[in-house]
Amino acid sequence: MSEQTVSQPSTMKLVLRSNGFIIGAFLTAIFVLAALISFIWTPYDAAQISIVNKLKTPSMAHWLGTDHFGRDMLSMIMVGARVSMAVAFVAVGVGIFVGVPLGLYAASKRGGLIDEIIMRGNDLIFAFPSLLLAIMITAVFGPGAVNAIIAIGIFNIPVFARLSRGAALSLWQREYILAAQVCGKSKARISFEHILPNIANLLIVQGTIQFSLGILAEAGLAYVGLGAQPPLPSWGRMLNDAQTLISIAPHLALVPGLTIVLTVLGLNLMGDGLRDLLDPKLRRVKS
Amino acid sequence: MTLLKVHNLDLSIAQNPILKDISFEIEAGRILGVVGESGSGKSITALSILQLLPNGTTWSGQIVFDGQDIQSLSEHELCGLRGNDISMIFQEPMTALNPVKTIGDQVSESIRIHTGKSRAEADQLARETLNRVELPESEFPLSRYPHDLSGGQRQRVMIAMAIALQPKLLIADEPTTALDVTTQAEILDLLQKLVKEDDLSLMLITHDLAVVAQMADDVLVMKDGEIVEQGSSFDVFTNMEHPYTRQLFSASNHVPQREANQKNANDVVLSVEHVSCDYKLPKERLFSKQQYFRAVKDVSFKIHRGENIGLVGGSGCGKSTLSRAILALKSLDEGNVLINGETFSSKGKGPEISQRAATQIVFQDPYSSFNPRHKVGRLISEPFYAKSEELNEDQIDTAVKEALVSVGLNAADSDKYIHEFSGGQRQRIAIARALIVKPSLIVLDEAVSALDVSIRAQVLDLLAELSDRFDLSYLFISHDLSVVRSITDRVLVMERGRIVETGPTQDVFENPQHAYTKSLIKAIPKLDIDEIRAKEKIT
Repeated sequence: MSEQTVSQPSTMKLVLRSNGFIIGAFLTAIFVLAALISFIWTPYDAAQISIVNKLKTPSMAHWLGTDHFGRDMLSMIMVGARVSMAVAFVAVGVGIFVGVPLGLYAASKRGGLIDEIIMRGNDLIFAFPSLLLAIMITAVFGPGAVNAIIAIGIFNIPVFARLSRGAALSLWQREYILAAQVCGKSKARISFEHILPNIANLLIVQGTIQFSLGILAEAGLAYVGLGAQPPLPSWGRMLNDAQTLISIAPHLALVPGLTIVLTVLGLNLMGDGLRDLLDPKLRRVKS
Repeated sequence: MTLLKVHNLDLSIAQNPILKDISFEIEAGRILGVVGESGSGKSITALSILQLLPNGTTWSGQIVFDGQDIQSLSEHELCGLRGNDISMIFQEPMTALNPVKTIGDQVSESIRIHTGKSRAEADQLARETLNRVELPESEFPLSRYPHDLSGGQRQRVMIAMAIALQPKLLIADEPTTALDVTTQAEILDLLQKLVKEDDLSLMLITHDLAVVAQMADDVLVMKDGEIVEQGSSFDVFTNMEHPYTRQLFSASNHVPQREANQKNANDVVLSVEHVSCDYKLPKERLFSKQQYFRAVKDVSFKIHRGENIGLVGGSGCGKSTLSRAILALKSLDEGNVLINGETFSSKGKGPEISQRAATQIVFQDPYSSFNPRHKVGRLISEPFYAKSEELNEDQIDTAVKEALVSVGLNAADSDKYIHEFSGGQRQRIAIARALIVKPSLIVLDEAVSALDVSIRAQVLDLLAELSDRFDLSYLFISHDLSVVRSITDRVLVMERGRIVETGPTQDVFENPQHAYTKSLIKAIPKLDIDEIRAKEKIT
């Protein structure tokens, strides 16, 4: 049997050809950099109040203007990026580290009682409004970034559990899985040795998209006052603060609003681009 | 009269030449058999007649159908031609029908599109056509859905769709490859009958030389996008001028050299004792009692050391379930499986991990048998997991290299990934993986069915040699009886979960006792020059 070797362009070429991925990665890189730089340097202290300078429009001294307390908007956005990204990152991490093993375990017990319990439990979380749970957690433990992480993280679990269970189920039918069973490997071992590497693509793509949703969710929680607490700046709360001043100083709402939009857009574009790059089938059609 | 004339057809897809200088003719009312191995361009030739080519295809040459030059027709005129004058049936009956439409709808749809007949008239014609393909109204009303038909019945519906408008040319692309032998014989008979009745021309594409020998008036042998030999079936098979035709012919009839096995009645490798297996049926209502389907019913047999056993039967007879049960991939619902005299699995109880090394398996599909993310060395060494003694890396490395060399590959191949290998090489790697722990029994589940004939002959030779060298026993599961005949000592015939006949292969094939065995053996397409000669004399 003569096999036709499909000539595939190198990954680097594909990356350069995929516009969505480049734009997405560029936007994401900007915000990640902003968050990282904020640890060592911000133009001003993000918590420093200076009533003299309040409600300044963007200028050379304050690139993005100042808010009603005279705090520098750029510094707040940079420190806020840190909070948003940390919350979203940890929340996605919780989702992956709890959800994926649950999904893989359920898939290995397909059709059994444990499978049912795990998946119906996931349905329950899915059906529960996330904001309600966040309010509950806040009511019990008080508001704060950590509790936002817990609330968002819990809602990431069923996403990853379902995804990995579905993908794993189709892989369990593959013959190399049967061959591994013939060698006496346990289901848990097969799940991690054979199935996990083969669904990693999916998880990476879903992870990026969940990351953007996490940022959005954090902003939402902060907006209603359940996220990071003052004096720590947060994009959601900046929006909330701007609400009453929107007719006097529209830039107070525009700056955090656009920041959120661009971050989420960037991550989604990057996720879409990644999916195209990692999926060999789509890759062939495109090239 | 010449119905279709293809002249100097050259075709390339994305600048890769696929077909080179193809010229042939099909006469009205004759069957043209097109044979060749995978990648020889058989299907693309057929698709170029229908102009259903993939994007990026360029072609030159001339295709004249019934006096019309295909190239001069617009897409609209081509649509009128497809289905109306030329129709096609495909290999996979399971996916070629739309599952949400009734069979009546699917047959009458193409009638309505092409003729503008009313629904009632179209349904009437659909009914008549289904009767013609031997799906009578009493059992197969128009309102039935494809999902409760068997593979052979679906293929009949496909044929009905294709012939409903009485086309002049029917193209059948591997129409029986996915079916088992008895169904294959029925479908081939039906096609032959339709050709006679309608004065239809049939272009029969297949990799199976025996099917062509049995069916075709004219033969076209293709290799790497070129026609290497063509002519009447009689001429091609008696002269076989091109070496490739001779090679195909000998590979199809290939019998590996092997020593007759002196079996030692006391040295039993596998003993299957009264094994039964059930499958849960879906519950009809939430609280109704769980129903079971018994796929394997009270099966008992033994395999001795070095003995090769064939297990044959139609699809759905339970042979795959039995093989899974033997390997303890599926739990037994009754009975015991003993390997080398020790209980391997029994009802509700599986084997110890260390026992696993005694049996290995080689699967049908060389493409899904390996984890694409591991290197060959790691893939092959996987069965060592079942070995109780710890091996260090050097020992494993040596064993991997030894196994690769013993299946005819290079020791250096262990550093490659699986996608760098062809189907035949992958099957060799699968055998190496099974071999590495020196098992007593290897289950070969349709292990050569997906391979081209010449590769199949090589793999069969390899299997025979390994069996002699390592005193291996095989349980050879296949629906291809000619392969089973060539490599096994004893054969088990399975029907509806039971073993209905067992005996030495030669005896069973020459003198079958059970009615089912007889029908199986009668259905095997034969590749016998004398028969082709006899057929020529009659016509």
